[in-house]
Amino acid sequence: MANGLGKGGRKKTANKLTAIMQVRNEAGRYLEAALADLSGFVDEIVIVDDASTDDTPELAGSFEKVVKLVRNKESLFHKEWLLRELLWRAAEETSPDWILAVDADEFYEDYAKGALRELINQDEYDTVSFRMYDFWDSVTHYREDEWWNLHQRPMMTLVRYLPGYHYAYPKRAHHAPRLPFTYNALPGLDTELRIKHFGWAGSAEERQAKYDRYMKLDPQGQWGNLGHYASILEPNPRLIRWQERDRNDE
Amino acid sequence: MAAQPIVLFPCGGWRGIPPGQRSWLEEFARKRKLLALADDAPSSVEQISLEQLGNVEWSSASVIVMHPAWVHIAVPLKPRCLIVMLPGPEQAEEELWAKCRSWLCAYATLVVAGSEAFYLEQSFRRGSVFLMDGLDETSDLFARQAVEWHIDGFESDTLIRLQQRHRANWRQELLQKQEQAADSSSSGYADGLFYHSVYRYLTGEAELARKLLLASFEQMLLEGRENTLQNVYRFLSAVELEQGRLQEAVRTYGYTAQGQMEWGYAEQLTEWLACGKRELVKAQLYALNDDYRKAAALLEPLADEPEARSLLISTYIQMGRLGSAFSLGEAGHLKTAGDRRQWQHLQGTALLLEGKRHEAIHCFLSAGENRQEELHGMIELAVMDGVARELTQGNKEAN
Repeated sequence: MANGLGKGGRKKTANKLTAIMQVRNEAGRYLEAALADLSGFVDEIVIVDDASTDDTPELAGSFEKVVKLVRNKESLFHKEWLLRELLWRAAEETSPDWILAVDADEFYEDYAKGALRELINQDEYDTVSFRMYDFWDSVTHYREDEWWNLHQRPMMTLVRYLPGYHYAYPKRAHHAPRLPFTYNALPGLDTELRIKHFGWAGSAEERQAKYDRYMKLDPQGQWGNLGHYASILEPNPRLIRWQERDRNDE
Repeated sequence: MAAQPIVLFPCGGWRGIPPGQRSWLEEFARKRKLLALADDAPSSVEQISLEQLGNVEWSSASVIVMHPAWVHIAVPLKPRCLIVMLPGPEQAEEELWAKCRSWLCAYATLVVAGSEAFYLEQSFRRGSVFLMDGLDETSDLFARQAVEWHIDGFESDTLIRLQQRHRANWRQELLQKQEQAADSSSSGYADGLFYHSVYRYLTGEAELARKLLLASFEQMLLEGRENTLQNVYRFLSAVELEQGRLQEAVRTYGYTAQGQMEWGYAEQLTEWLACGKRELVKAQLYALNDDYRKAAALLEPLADEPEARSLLISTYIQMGRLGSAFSLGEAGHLKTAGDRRQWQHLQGTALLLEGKRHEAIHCFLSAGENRQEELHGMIELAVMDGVARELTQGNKEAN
């Protein structure tokens, strides 16, 4: 295009990559490592702290790339879509080009990090999907069985920010999608690039505590599947060793 | 006034007319002089043959046309009032009938559409369009009244606005019923929101149109519907134009563009906007949203400028207004031999609709340039002649 933009006015070069994250009481877990990791490959980070009672906001604010930190006085945990919307609006105020929606216990494999700039500096698609692997009991193995197979389908976590586009979240109290569902209308790219999710990589006691929390929040399985909840306590899940890879493997 | 004849061009004899319209026309025949090109017309209706059409005083006659194949016979008669009353197109309608439908509606003084989709399409191409789909009695009444007003020589603008508002409210009530019945997950609800949005656009309620459109877009996405960006979201750019938000409208169109041609349009819109050609941008955006009526209204005062004229010609062709298109353009600016042949073909059709049958045939033959596959115009004319003759017969249905 004459103004240096690509198809449909999309910016093709020098795009800014902004990570967005909602956190609550993450100080003693993976947050520090996750922010250190993100600081190595994104340009800015926007965080909403959902009324943490530990040092999470102080920790988050200590990272130079955290350009915006919104602190909720009262938790929106039971109205998750509102929390998602709040984070989205906070990110919008920083004029992002691309937004990477990350949880505080997720890590992009090095190979994926290396591909990100190429993925965002183009004008063909507006969303990118990755494969999310649930690590189990350790940071060396992921789980794969009937209930734990998220990595077998693409998951959208990276999106182009299109000013003025209509963004909406479904009004779900729990399990609201991390990005506006109206992105589903836009052209997207599914990749085999991988994300390591360490949310289940802790001890059996931690998993039991998570299970107890889910059952308290959603005893009827209204927002999730009860069979899936029960599988958290499976004593001998099928675990597969993670193999790191780099671009030379392709 | 009652003595002025009304000539009916049916869709397969008298029996081919849908029962609801047939009884209305029979009632009509008791008050007015009604003639029909139907060999099975009832005694209250006077039969007329194709050969007798030359005996009618057309400057005082009204015509009601009920099938697209009559276009090359009814339009050249230049009646005082040409009323087109057509059902919505069938699925996978043949291209020839789609073109004839478009031309017929463009030359009509009044269009009465038998389906909502057809009605909205025509409302984006011309004024004096009514809906008569049998779903809402009051709405149908407006359409029937409009036919009578036109036959009596009156305009129907007031009725158009009344029907649009009534229909918009009817849509709103349907949606409210679905919401109360917690039936908003059905596919009809999302489509209903979209239709309601289009009505509010037509009635000039842009902000409401915007809200409804976005609600429809969300609902369709939640249902997993495909192509919502082009089929639904793009219309937001037309709504934004109505709200005076030109820059946003260009941006919205750009987000929805797909494929080389549409990306080209998006680029051109941005360039025109940068050059300050705001009226051209608006007209192109309306045309890209199928609102040819508003596009033409913006372009007509600019027709001396080459870019505007070129866009106006293609807009007129989309509207079926071939005569208007040819009054503006010449084939010389067309780049390829294919373009020139297509232009000649359209010129032939325009001549045919003016009643210059021999000149039209000459044009079709020139377009052919001895190439058998390019003789579409001649073949189509023969088909139209044959079908028109069959349409007078009550024991046959037009193919």
